[in-house]
Amino acid sequence: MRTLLVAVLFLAPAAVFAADGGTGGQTFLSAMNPGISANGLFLAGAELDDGVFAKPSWTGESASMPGKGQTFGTGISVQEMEVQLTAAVDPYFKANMVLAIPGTSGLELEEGVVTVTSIPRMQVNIGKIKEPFGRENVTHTHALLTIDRALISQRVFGEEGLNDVGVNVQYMLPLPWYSQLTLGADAGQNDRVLGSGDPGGFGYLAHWKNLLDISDNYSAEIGVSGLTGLDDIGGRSLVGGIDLTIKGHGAGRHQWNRLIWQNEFILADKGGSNPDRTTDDKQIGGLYSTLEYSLTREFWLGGRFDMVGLPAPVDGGQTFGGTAIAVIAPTEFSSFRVQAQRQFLPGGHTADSLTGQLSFVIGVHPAHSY
Amino acid sequence: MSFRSFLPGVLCVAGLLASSPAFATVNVITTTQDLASLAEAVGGSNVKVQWIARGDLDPHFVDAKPSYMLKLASANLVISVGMELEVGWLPPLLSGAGNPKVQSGTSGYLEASAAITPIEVPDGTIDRSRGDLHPQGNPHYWLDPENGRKVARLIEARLEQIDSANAASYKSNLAAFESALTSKEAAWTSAMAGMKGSNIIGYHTTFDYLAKSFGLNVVGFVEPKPGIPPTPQHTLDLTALARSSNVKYILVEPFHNGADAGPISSGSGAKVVTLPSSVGGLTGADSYFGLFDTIVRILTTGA
Ligand SMILES: [Zn+2]
Repeated sequence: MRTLLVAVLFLAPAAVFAADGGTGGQTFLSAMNPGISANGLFLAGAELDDGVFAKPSWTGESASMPGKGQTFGTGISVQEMEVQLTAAVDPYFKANMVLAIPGTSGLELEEGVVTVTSIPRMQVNIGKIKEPFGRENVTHTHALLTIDRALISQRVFGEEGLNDVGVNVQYMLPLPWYSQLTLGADAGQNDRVLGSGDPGGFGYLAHWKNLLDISDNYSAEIGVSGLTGLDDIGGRSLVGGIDLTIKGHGAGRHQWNRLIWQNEFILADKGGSNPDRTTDDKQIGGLYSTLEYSLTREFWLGGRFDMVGLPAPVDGGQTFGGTAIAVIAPTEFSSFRVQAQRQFLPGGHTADSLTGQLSFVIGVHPAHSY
Repeated sequence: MSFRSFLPGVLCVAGLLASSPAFATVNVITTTQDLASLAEAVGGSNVKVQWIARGDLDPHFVDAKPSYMLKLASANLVISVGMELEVGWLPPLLSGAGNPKVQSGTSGYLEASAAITPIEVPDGTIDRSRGDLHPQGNPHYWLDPENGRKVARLIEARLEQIDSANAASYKSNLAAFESALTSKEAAWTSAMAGMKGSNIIGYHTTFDYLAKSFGLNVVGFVEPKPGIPPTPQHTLDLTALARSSNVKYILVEPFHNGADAGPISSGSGAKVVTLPSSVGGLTGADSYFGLFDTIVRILTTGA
C-alpha cells in the first residue's frame, strides 16, 4: 500500500509535465522566465481653469487635486511607465508584479500579488492589490476608456485608487450565473477614507460581482461593493458602491462594432458620529457613466458623464463633468487618444481641457479582462 | 483499524480517484467550433462538448460570454488550438473559472497544436515590427484535413487517458471518423483537381494550410503584415501582383471586410470570395466535414 502511494506521488508530477504541449520550441530557461510586459503613457494637453491656462502638471504647483477641477495642466508629460511580471510560481501559486514609475522619477510597487490557484472555485490573493471595489478601481490606467479616472473615484479614493496591502478571498458562488463574492482585509492605508494609523485599523472590503449573458452578443455585469474601516480622525468610514456594465458586439464582419456602457455610483460616509468631521467632507457621493462604441477595429469614440455631490453637496456644491474622447489604435499594442473635457465646479467655476495621450505596450501579449 | 493505517489508505483512494476518475459524461469545452466538431466525432455519446468562440468571429479576438467561465468551472477537459492563437482571451477565462483540473499543464488541458507540424515558423528576429506574428508558426492548421485527423487522434488519446473506462468506444469512434475522412478527402481532392496550381491571395494567413493541402499558391495577403490593416501602397502593389500572376480568388474570412479587397479585385480581375474559416463560419459549414464541403463548393463554383 505504501509503495503505491509513493508511486502515485511520483507519477503525478511526471504526468503533469508530459501533458504540457504548449512550450513549442522555447528553451527551458526562456520558458521559465516570467511573462514581461511594459507600457507607457505620454501626455500633451492644455487646460483652462476659469479661462486661464493652468500650469504644466510637472511643476508640481498645480498637482491635480481630484474633483477640484484640475486635470493634467498645460504642457507635455509622462503620465505613467509600468513594468509587469507574471508567472506561475508552482502548481499552487501564481504571482503578478507591477512596478510603476508615475511621471519620470520614483519607482513604486503598484501591484505585487501572489494568488493561490489550486483550490476549486476559489482564489486567494495576498499582497499589494488593486482592490475589487467596483470596476474602475481594478482597471489599469492604460486600459481605461478615458485618459483620466472618473471624478468620483478620484474624490473618494484619491488618484491611486483603493490599492493597499492585504488579503482577499474570491469565491465563485454555486449559482446558475457567474457570481463571485470577494471578502478582504487591507492595511487601512488609503488616506482619503481610511488611514487611522491604529494598530487595528484594518479596512474590510466586500464585493459581489455578477456576470450575465443577455444574448449571444451582449452581456451584463452587476456589482455591489462595500468598504469599512477607521479614518484619520478615528471615526468609522463606510463606503458603498454599485456598478452596472453592458458590453456587446456585432456578429460576423460587424464583430468590431463593440459597445461598452459602464456606470458606477459611489457613496462614502466618513467619520461616523465623530463631531470633528465637518459636514462638508462627511459625505461624498457621486457617479459616472461611460459609453464607448468602436466603428472599426482601429477606431472608437466615447464619452463620460461625471457628477460629484450626490445626494449631498461636496465642496459647497455639485460638480458636473462632460468628456468626449476619440481613440485610434493601429494595433492592440499602440493607441492615440484625444480627449476634450469640461467640468462645472461649485461656485460657478469651470475647468476645460484638451488632452492627447500616446500609449504603447511591449512584451508579452496583453490579456483582456472579464 | 488504527489511524496510522487509515490515513495512507484514504490518501491512496484519493490518489486513485484523482488519477482515473469515472465520468458519467466527460464535459469537454473547446475554444473553437472546429475542435468541438472533432471532439464530438471522437467522444460520441460519452462526452458533452461545448465551444467558446463562434466560427464566424475572429478567433484572435474573442469577447467570450461570461457563462463560459461557469462552464469551464465544471469542465473535465479543455481543448485549445494553441500556438498562441487564444493568448489574448483564454488565460483570463481559465483563471476566472477557478478549476484547477483544466489549467495549462494538467491532463485536463490539451493544446491540439501538439499533434501537428506547423508551417511558417518565423525565423530571424521575431518582434512586432513584423506585425502580430504567431511566434510558434501559423496556428490556422485545422484547415488542412490531414491535421484534423492528427488532432482527432490526439483528442482520442487524451479521452482514453482521462476516461479509460470508455477507451474502446473512443477507439472505434476514431476509426469511424478516420475512414469517413479518408473517403471525404478523396472527394474533395478530385473536386479541387481543376483548381490545382491556381494563384490566390488571402486576407490573413488563415487559408495557408488549406492552400497547401489542395495545391493552391498563396501569392500575397491583403494585410501588409499579420494583423495589420491594409495600406493604400500595399493595396496598389498587391493589385499589380494579382494582375501579373493571374490571381483567381481573393479569400476573405466572414469577419473581415471584403471591401478592403475590392480595389484589388477591380484592378486585377481576381474574384473576392468569402470562405468559412471555421465550423459555423457560414451556413452549411456546420461540422468539420461540412466546413470543407462548403469551402470546396465555393472554390469550385466561385460562389
Ligand atoms: Zn492568425
